[in-house]
Amino acid sequence: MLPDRLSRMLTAYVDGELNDDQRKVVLRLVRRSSEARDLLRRLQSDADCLRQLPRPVLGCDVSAQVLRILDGQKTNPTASKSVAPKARVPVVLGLAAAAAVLFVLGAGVYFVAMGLKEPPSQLAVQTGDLIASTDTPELDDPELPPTLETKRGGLSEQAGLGASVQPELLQHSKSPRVIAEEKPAPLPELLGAPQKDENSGVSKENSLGFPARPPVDFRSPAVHLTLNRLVRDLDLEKRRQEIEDELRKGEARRLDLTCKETAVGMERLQAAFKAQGIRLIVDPGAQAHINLRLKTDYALYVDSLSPRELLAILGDLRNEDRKAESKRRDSGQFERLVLNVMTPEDHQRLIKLLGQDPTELKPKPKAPTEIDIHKPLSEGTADRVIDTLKGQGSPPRPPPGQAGPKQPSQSAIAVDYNTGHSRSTSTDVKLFLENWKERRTGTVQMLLILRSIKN
Amino acid sequence: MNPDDHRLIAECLQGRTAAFGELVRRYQDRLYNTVYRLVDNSEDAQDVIQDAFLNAYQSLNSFKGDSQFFTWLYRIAVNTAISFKRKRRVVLAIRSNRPGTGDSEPLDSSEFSRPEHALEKAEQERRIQGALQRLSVEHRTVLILKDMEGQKYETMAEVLQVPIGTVRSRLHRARLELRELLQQDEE
Repeated sequence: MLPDRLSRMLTAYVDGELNDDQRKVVLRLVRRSSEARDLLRRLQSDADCLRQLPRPVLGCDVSAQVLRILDGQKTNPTASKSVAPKARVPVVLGLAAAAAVLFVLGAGVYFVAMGLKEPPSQLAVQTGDLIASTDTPELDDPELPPTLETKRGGLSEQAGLGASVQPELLQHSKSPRVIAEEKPAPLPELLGAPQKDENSGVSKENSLGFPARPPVDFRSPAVHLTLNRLVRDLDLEKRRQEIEDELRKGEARRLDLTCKETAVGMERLQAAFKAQGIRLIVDPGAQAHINLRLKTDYALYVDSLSPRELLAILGDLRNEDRKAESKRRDSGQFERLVLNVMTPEDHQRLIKLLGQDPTELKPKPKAPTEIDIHKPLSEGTADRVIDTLKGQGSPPRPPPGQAGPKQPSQSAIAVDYNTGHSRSTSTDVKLFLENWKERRTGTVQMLLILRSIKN
Repeated sequence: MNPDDHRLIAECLQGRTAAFGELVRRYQDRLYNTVYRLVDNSEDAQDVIQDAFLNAYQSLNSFKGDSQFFTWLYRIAVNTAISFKRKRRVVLAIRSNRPGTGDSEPLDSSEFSRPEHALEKAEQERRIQGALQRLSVEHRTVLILKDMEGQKYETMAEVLQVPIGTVRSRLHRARLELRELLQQDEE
């Protein structure tokens, strides 16, 4: 069992609220303690799951309802005291409800006294019905201002019926919707269930005068699915062509790549980027997670990537998987790729991850050359020869007939996609942002999300 | 504070309710996700959002502008959702002998189309949402604010009107409790 102080540090690490020194302490701790490592892995995984829960979308505009209620109250915020939330239902209705209850109780006593011996449960049902029937005209009354209170408060509640009231009565003191759930038709219609216009299929206003709610749409409208393919299908020329065509259609794309072990996936991506002359800078936090083999997601951003380069990178990943699969079936790492346009939400997420908007970067003004025009050219040449001999100059030429290793011409950045750590202080992110180069023509801005397939 | 918000609030205080409608439209979607996760029901979430805006309107004159308008609004919405949830818990305790009518968890249509993947994901979402709902409302709130809304400790403290240390401790306990619940599920 980890001491409380240490487990607090681990949770704060998952919260992304530690400074660099504290993070180093945590990483040292998890390197040394398998228990800490295990707990961190699980906490991180739980947090990832929470972050990945779908974001429900409000399927309607509540502003119309709010304004209608406010107009009904005829009030303004400066006179808030006069809009006491307790003034819910006209006093007359409250009194009517109280009278109804008293009447029913009286009637009950009368029947008992007359020897009819009505069962108490039936009495309660009758009472509830009476309350409901008192509710109904109120709710159905088009003249009544559609206040929040009439919508949500029940009469028994307004009449001051408290804990002493039978549970059945309390059930009717809840919102009309709850009553509608409990009672079969025709109450649900009466109480405002959406009614569809037979011709248009569009929801009309309900009997309270509120616009009926359209069904809630949980699907994000921002997702424009363009391509969804298995990585192994990249063996087919047709599939590769599809990706290339898709990339040529726009300037900013998001590619989701699912992977069994993202730490392994990151290492392969690093090698594949390097082969294309792109230096993949990995943020220290992400690197620590790779070293720990955490099952988390990573975001990679590259500002200028040609379709051919991306296909070559994906091809390299596929080659590695093919090699692994030739030894053991289903041992490939990468499973599926989904190519989308980069949405404004993706853009915002990217800014949050990097602490700066990489798409807004401008080329740095060129520094003046350090050539002294008063110095003979031969002296400069001699200096460069000396530097090269010391190992500080430009790399030696490859032997004739051989292509030298591709020198990194640009860089990409990789960060942990799920963590809440602020990246603005990371020196590696700064390095990436400072080394920004003007985007080449025919290339796209690419946000690549390496997603862990959770077991 | 956002100058647009400032202007709209000033107009509201002058009695122009349409300006408030603009504020509602601006923030309703951002509030909805948090409230939905807190109350775990889409219709309740809409009711809570509506109440929160009405409460906000009624106390708009008390908004001093020393924090972002959204943070202030967010605080009202979270408090409204928490008190709704507490009231609902009492009612549910009374109604516990009746079958529930909770919303089923929506599937993420944007997820990759492999059917078993979608099922696994749906199952995982169900588990995590189930565990989340079993947490106390305080613990659930901090987890939602942190992990789903990405808020910093400072903002959370402002929203919940508690010291930062309390936020930190609550999150710590919430994470461990959530882990324990998920562990129980796994076993």
